[in-house]
Amino acid sequence: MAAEAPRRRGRRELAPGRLGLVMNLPTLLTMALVLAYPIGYAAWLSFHRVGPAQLRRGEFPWTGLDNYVRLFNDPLFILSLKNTFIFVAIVVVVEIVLAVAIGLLINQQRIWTSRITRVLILLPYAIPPIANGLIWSFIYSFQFGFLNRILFTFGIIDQPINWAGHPETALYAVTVPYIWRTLPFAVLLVHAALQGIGTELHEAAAVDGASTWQRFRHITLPLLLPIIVVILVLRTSFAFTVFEEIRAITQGGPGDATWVAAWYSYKKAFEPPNDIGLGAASAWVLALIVGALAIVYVKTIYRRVV
Amino acid sequence: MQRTGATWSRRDLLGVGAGALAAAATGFHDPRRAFAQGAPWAIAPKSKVDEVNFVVWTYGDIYTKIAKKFTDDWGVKVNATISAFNDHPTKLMTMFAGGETIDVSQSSPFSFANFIAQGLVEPLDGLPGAADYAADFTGFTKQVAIHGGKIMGLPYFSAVWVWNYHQDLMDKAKMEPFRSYEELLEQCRKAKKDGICQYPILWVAGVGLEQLPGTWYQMTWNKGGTFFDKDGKHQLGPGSIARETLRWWAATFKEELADPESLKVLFTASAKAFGAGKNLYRGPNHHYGLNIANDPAQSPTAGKTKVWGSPGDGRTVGVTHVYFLCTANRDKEWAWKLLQYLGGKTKDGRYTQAENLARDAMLGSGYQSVMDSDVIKTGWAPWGDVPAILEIWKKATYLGEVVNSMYQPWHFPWSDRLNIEVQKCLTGQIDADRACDNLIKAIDEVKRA
Amino acid sequence: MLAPSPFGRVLLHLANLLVIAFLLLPIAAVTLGSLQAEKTLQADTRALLPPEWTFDNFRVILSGGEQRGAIFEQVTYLPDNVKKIRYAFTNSTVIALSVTFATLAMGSLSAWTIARLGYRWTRWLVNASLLARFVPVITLMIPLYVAFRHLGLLNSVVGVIIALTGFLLPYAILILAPYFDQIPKELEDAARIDGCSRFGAFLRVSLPLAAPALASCGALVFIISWNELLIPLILVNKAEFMTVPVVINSLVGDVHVFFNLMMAICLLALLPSVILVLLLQKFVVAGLQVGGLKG
Repeated sequence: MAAEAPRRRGRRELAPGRLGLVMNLPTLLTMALVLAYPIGYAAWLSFHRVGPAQLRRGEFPWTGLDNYVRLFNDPLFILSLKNTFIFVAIVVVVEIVLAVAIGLLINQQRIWTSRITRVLILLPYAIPPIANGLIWSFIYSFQFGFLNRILFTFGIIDQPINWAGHPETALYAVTVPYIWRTLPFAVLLVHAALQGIGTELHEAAAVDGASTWQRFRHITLPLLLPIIVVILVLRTSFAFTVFEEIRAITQGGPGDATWVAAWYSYKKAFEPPNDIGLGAASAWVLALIVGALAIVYVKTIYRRVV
Repeated sequence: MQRTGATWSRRDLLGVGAGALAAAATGFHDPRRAFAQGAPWAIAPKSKVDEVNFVVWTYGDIYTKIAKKFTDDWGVKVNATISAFNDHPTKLMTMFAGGETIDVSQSSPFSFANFIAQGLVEPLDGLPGAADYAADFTGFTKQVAIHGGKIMGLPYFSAVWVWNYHQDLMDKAKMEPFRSYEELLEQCRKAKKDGICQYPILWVAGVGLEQLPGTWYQMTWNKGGTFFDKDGKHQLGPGSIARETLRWWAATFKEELADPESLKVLFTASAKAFGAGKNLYRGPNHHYGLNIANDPAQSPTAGKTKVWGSPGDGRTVGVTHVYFLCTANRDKEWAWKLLQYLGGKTKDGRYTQAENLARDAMLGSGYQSVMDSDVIKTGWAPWGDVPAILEIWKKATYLGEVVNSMYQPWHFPWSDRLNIEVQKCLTGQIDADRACDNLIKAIDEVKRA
Repeated sequence: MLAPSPFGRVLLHLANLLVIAFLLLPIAAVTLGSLQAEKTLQADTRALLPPEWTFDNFRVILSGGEQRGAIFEQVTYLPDNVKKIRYAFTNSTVIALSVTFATLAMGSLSAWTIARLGYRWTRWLVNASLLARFVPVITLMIPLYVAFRHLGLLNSVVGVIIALTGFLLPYAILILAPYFDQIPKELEDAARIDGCSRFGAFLRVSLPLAAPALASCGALVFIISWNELLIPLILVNKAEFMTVPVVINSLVGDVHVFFNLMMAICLLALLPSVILVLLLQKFVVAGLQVGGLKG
């Protein structure tokens, strides 16, 4: 804390503690209203039977853990969780690999195309997720999709492929737009870390006769490990909540191939019969999974990086 | 809602018709004017409102037009909340749960039982003119709009399920439209082999309440089956017609006679897709799709899509969608007035909306008088063979008789499962037996919830 | 990095081209899609470029459905939300700008107290922000709806602004706090000796010095609030108050019906963020990196 400065001319100023409180008041109020209260309320709702008529009347019967029991007895929820886990696993692994590769690529100072890539890598971050989903549903369209057109033009296929409409491929198909959209974040983190590594180590190793691959494996990769772990935890947490791409491209189909956890919550809560208690319960389960990851992050990685 | 005390004696003295009596019971009717006109739809309510609103799903320009007419005729602003068809129930429920005012809304027959159970729907009995409307309901409409003996809604439109075929491709293949399901398969196989078209059938198999399910319901009914018997017991067991129909249907996908796009398309989209001229047949669909497939502005093959009936005795299914008065209205009289503009008569005593819909969008009406009138005959003519469609109409049964779970509130979540299981079956992930068994189990699950 | 061999250079150029192609694929798709009419899309499903180009899709959108253009002349079915799209763009702009301003204001106030006034509860605020970042929006949606209904904030631009601000404050705090930490305290002390109050020192010394962080944070917050779907979706159901992503979402059900129109809307929707990102690259990059490393 700063040493007490001499009193100002005339006006009295707030003590530091009081000042801190006043300055934080808007933030605290807003975050309480928008974050703290709703989280608690969602938990509370999950212990009641809530439908639109009850919501309108404002009285909901208490049902304890009933919603959770029903939730875990619903094969569709278990499937949604399973699909979500698969989705997350693919997304995270692919993204880490791509992030390291592209990070290394744009770090090439002497390659002028790398500079272009460095600028363009930010593009996907700017796209609204729902628009991204729609654009990819165009790309994937079986009837007149862009991807098929490209492949026809290059002679790679001669029959249109039903990318997002085939139950086997649908889940994998929707990982691509999600990876495309969220890649910039991971790439930039790797990029920042690479800047931190510098060239001296590499030059020394090269002098000693190390090949490019050996330099990568033994110098770059270990030094990138911390940031890879950061990406791992952050992206895993966020990938669990994927929604817009599913909504725009497959709406959970074909069949139930792309039902993910967030989609389940949405459908249960917002489509008739609007089982809001069940929706809240499923949303809370999702929050708990993500929360566990968040705690891991805060306890272990955040401390170390800071 | 103001109710003045009903004073029977005065009404008795005046001796006006049943409509006025009914209106008097609710206490807002001015007996002198009714006596003069006998036309309850032309009378303004006594109360004043700033605006009225309705919550509907989108269909062209129709709501802008009718809203404008309402404002022109009565001087009250109309607010519209419009969403895509599949999103509408969600929108409506969210607004209702949120305590918002909703004067009028609409429902497909599939959601109606659910809405009624949730307390959204206000019965119309006793409102001025309601009984007359009900007397003019077609058979379908009576089965949808009258619940527990009460009038719960006014008709929006009616449709029957028909087949379509593409004239040019049919000529190229030198075939005549099919007369049995076996013939259909043979034709499709031949058309595919001869290179006439890659996917001879475009089905309506997109996820929805009546799109994918409708195709299954219609074909099962045509083959002589139902989904539930009169006592509500399911008819999905082994060897049942529903199960075998599903099996037959899935085989068309397996043999690659069915266009994979089928799984994504709803009615409008399939009509558009069919207009591209790549398929020989379009599976059972709402008859008014012809309005899109044969529209020169939207379709490169306008005029080539022809209507065709179903095999066997030609029996098919039909539905009526309804408008209803919401319990969350701001003023019952004005809401009733608005409801009539959407589903009944406008100030001039004509079924304006129904006539416009027939002319502009080839929709059928829930009113017998409209169906029998020239509006249908001339209105539909630009897009299809009117006598043929009306013939098919005669053979149509209300869908609720095929799937009487529609009258239960649990039909909606069960349909969700139906969509999933059927799509899994059509894409070959499971067979028809597994799908039907899962659906049977699902009935118990949704009933419990 | 050491200089790559000529062969290595070629490989690296190729790799870059591949990545650039991947990055530009959706942009190319949406541009090509929006400049065609529905019929040409269906007519030839194998050609890469459309046989006929048209600006009619944009004409329809930008004129709110008034000017139909040649391809839409006789179409009676035009989704209502398309007509109201100009409202949507206005709403999105107003909301994004307001949220940015509010978040930066409140966020910098809080971030400064965390950096300078090291009370235990400010530390707790940092942790809370960290955890808050991980809350799935879907979990918030239902209770937010109920709460805002009580407060009469549904279907209002103000309601959306408050909700988005609350949601994005944790990001802002996590980006700004470390930056304020870095600003030497001596500068503020000097100002205080000259007679400034603590708050004055914040306002006149630290805040201007934090400009780069504010720019980064502002750019990110603008982009996120422009792009956000779920929060405005749940709080608004009247077309006049919708934001652009909400309108796009409402048209998903009609996507097979008005494909090219939708592509045109998507293109217009992504332009502001893309332009912002390209103009403020440095700041966006800095913001993402700090936001990532520090949480």
